[in-house]
Amino acid sequence: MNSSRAFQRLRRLLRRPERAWGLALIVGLIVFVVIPVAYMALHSFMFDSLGPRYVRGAQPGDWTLFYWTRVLTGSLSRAIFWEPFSHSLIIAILMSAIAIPLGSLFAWLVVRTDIPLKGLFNSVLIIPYIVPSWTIGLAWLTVFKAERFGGQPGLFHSLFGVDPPAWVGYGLLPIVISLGAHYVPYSFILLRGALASVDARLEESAEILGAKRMEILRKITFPLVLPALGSAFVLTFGKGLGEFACQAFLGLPIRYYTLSTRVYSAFEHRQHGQGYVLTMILILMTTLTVLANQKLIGARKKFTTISGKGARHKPVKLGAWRIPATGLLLAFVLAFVVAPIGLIAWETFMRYEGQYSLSNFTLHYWVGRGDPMLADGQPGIFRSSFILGAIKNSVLLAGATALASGVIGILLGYAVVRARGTWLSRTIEFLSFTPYMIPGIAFGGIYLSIFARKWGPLPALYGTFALLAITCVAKYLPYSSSSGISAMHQIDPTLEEAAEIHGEGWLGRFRKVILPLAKGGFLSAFLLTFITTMRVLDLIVLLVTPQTRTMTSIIFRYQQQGYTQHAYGIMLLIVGITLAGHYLVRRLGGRIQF
Amino acid sequence: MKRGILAALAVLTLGLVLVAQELTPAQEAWLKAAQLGPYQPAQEDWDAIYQAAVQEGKVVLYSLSSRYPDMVEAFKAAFPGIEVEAYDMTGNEQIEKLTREQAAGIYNVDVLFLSNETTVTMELLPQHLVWNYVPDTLFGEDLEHFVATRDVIAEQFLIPLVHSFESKVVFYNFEAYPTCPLQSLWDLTLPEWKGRVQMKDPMLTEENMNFLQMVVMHADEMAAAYEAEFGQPLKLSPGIPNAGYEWIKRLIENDIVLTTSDGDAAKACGAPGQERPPVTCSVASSKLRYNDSKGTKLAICWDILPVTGLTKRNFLLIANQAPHPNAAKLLIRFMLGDSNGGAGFAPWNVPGGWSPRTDVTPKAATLDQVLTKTWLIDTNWVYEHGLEVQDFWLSQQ
Amino acid sequence: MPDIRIDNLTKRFGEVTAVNRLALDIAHGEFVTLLGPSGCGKTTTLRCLAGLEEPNEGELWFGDRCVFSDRKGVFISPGARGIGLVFQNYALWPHMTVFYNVAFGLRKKGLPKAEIRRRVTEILELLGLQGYEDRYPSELSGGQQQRVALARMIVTEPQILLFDEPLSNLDAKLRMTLRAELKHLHSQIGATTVYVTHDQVEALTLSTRIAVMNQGVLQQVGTPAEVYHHPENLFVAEFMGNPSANLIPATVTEEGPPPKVMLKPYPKMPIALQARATLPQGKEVIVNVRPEDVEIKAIPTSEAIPAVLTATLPTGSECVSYLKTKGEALEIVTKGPEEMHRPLRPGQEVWLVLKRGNVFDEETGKRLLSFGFADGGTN
Repeated sequence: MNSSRAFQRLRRLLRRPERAWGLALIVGLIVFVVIPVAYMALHSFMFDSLGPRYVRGAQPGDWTLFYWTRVLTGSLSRAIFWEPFSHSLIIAILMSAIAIPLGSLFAWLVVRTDIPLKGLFNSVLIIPYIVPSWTIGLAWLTVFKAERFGGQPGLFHSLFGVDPPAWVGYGLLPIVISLGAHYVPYSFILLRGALASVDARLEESAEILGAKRMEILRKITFPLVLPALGSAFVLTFGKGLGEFACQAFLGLPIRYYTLSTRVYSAFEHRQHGQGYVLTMILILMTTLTVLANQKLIGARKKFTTISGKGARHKPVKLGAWRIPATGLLLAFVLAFVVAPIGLIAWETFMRYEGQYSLSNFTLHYWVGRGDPMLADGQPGIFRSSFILGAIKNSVLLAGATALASGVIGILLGYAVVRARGTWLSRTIEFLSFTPYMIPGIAFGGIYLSIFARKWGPLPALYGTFALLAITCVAKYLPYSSSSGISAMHQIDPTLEEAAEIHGEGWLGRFRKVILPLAKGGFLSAFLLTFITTMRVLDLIVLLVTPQTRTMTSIIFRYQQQGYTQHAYGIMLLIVGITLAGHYLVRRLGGRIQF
Repeated sequence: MKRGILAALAVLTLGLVLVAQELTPAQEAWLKAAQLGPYQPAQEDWDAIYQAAVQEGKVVLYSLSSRYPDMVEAFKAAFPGIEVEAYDMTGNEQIEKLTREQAAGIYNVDVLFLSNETTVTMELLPQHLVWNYVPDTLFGEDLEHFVATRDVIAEQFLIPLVHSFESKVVFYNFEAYPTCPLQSLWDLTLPEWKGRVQMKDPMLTEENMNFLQMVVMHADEMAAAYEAEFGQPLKLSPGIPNAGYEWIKRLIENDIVLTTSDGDAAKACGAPGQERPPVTCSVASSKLRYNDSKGTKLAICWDILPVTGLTKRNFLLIANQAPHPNAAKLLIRFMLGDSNGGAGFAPWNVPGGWSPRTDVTPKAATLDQVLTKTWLIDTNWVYEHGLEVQDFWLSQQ
Repeated sequence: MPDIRIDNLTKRFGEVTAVNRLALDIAHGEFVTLLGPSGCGKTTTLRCLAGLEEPNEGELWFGDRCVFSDRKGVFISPGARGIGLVFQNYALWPHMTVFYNVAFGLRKKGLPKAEIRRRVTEILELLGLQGYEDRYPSELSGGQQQRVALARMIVTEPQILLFDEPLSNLDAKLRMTLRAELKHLHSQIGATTVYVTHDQVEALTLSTRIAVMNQGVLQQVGTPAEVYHHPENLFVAEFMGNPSANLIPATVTEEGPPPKVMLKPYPKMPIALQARATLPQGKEVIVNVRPEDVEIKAIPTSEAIPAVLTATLPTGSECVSYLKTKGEALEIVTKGPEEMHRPLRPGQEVWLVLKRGNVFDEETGKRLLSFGFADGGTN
């Protein structure tokens, strides 16, 4: 009786592939997410290797509240934590306040109005996200660098002969604008999907009841796309807290610190304990944001499921607004797509940087053989086997990560959506989002500690390409899972059951029904992780071995060594490769979705 | 299940806590086989070492400098049969990687080329995560001739073995200023230079924090320099314990510009055509080469009081239980160059870089000059008090 | 031997019991409809039959083959049950053409290509879909999609056909046409069919038998006429029929036969119920009369209840009228040929005669007797 019950339960579990697979995923998530986080949490209560230098007689590994009190209440807590914390919050809020309204407005214009050049805007408005966030930051400096900060002043100074005010060049404003522009595509992509799926009849019925256009937007459209806005907010806000490079470039010169630059410098100074504490706080904050979002709009989530039956929208006539609206979009594209990439490209052709004259033009940094007078004799990018090797590695790593993420995204989406409403589904969704909140450098370090050697059934992964890929796949789970979930939402379970009736086993159903239908989700996860992995740096810096250097790992080195043109050139290649990848995936019918 | 995870975590934790003063049998065996540490013979048989190195086949180098490719080519030409895997990593990354690798029982790297003086001397060496290795002889006028190491390198630079020195100095723009516009470090805190001093953020690099620490350690010299320049004793602000801290406080209040790299600071200072270029504080002297490669107008303020900055030592060390110890020995010996500099040292034999070897002629200023114009890092002092200075810096933000 | 035996079937979702100890035998060739309001467990029952859900308790037999038993630990997977299923939304695979949608099951069986093509073509022709082979589902109308789903189901010649509200997404006219097609198809194929719907007209028109369910419990199984005219309990009485049957509380005044009851809305005189059975004196009952079994008279007759007309709703062929009884106002609905109702005006006083109906125990809701039927109203 008992054994047959147990047998029945087991069989029921296995018959529901989303359950069985969900359990497998949970095990995976425990190994690759929970344990690293627990490791970090535990170590935030232990003295690190610097412990004995702070507290006499302390042994590394001893239990202590030292780091928590130091960060939260100690005399330095204001400098280490509270002030950077408030800066991070302000940045996250303000950049969300830029990115979300702007992205939503763009989405509305492109989806719902008679604005011209829709095809162009549709593909170009994604680019600020495809190029690394620091391209905008660096380009910003090229323009607004003040003479006050020495060196070649920016274009602004060259044109007007005066410095822009200091607060324009560095600190909160440029950080917020650069990051805001960088994350406009998040809201654009999310809202574009949501707006397109809102049933036009819902709006039309309000129109019939005499509602004005603004009123319809406010009372009908807005609540319907609220869940998408919520997701956009969580993604943008979370990024605002965690983003490092841009905040470092634009914040450090005026000593404007944020939580993420503090986390980075903690790890830089091998203050692991302090770094873990700050990271735990970062995780906590992002978790709270996610939970608050779920509480506020979680219940409405089902509203967004796409019925696909909605009547077609008739485009809103912009009338007199058509020209200014088009102008706004073009200006955005010009300022945050064309200009940054153009300026960076330009830099790579300058023999001496910052001198905007034709006589200064050179191809040396691309194809030169190496001149001891220039960049210490480093050969041009296409002649350096070192750089070419890095390009190969980067593309391989990004490709492998993207492929694995695409598949895992679909499986995650499958488990989460099919088991919707169960603890299993909620746990998987939450855990797969967690890596979003862990700084890359900490994530990489923990992975090195845990997975370098043989561990349980896992072989020693150290020095393998697999470890790099696993780390990237785990870190970017949030992207792959959200792509997979949104794709799976659109596949009705009966499509699979119809195949089951015909005797198709789970693998067959997955191959013949789910996978072809979830192609979009797969490609989206592929694209997102490809783009992100192409520009990953801090995550893998501790895991790479000499053969596995990547493009990004050499950019910052070159930047620091002063090989600016090389650094910018590689940066441009990254932009080029990601854009090419994006184009290819689009040709296959994929697009970014969250 | 839960208990299992906790237990696993506890094991991981203990693994990290390496208090390895006692040699393990494996270490003993490795040292003996590699003829390192206590087992290094007074006279080394370099032919045998080369033979063994060829057997090993390769050597893995972590390097804080990316200038190694030419050296690697020269090494491979000089010692055929040995591959070099060189990898660019900051000192912190090397240490982070090494400690985690060793804790996991993974032995991957052979030679570490890094600075991080305090961590190297106070942690890595005592904990036997790395081993110091001094070749008995170095190359003389060429690869066929040899000199005794102790004849050309002062004893103080042998433990740990110094590969090269690099200074972190005050630069000025010689196009705008015919001579150094500063008399002492205190000038950096004057209104004239408000917002015109550039330094890489010390929270991003240990060396610059080391410079601040040395300023505090040498508080007496700082006080004397003040009095020498202004003719009256320094008045400390309330709650500030000494002249070193006072200088740091005033430097920050004078709106110092922090950069993300030395290069940025050097370019800001040296860019041509400026009317009021900034000066730098604690920027790598090797940036002098920008004058050639980037057309900058950088010059070092050698003669300011009490010093122009810091001289840091770059070490060459063999990783504990390195898989290719003989090849590592060859590489270290090669990287120390020959009496003329040599292919092994050429990439670092630049203006602003110095060999510890007395028989190598530096490109600019002699080592003795440099050492009198700068401070060396007192790693003991940094280990004991350094974090106080770091905390002070943080508290002034 | 029945073709389908559902024995004591129970299916729970967490705390909720969706199907509760359901027992039902279905003979070969029958067309049985599971009917009930949404959430009554009918779809769950169907999914248990299909093997898409695994029940918690009970047994399922297809012929002499046990496809599920909790005690014996038997569970046959959906593909091995020899069934066909049409989903409410058709579940056509959007990435496959009509041909491949229909051919899926045949390909799965590994039939030779030519054979597959022959059978798919045949079926598509049967359903009037020739020429649509290479279209994708999104390029078809709702009715065509429905037919593709049917084709996909029957092409593998399953022994048992299962339908999950297959017509609910279609408009009224198309629904009518497809009902006729379905019935025709069933008579041609003769496969045992279980059909789930919440639409009683569909159930009444298509089925050989109807199983009415509510809150996971089977209420009544019977031919459409039995279920319609002799509901076992108040739920079935109320659920069947449109507009709903009149429910009039009453007290038994005479045991009979024929028993007499005093209607509460009109307690002036007892009414005799034309039945050979008896009712215990003093029992509180509910008298249930279908609208079409209430006759309207313009002048008072014996055993007629006075009422006032509030509204008439003519539909062309017939007319529904709403009335209020005098005294304790109770709404009564009548239905009849239009010409009978046409002369009536709202506000007009009329007299109602209850021709036939059922009497239920007010306490238990169980039917006590039927009255006014030709068979004399025995159970």
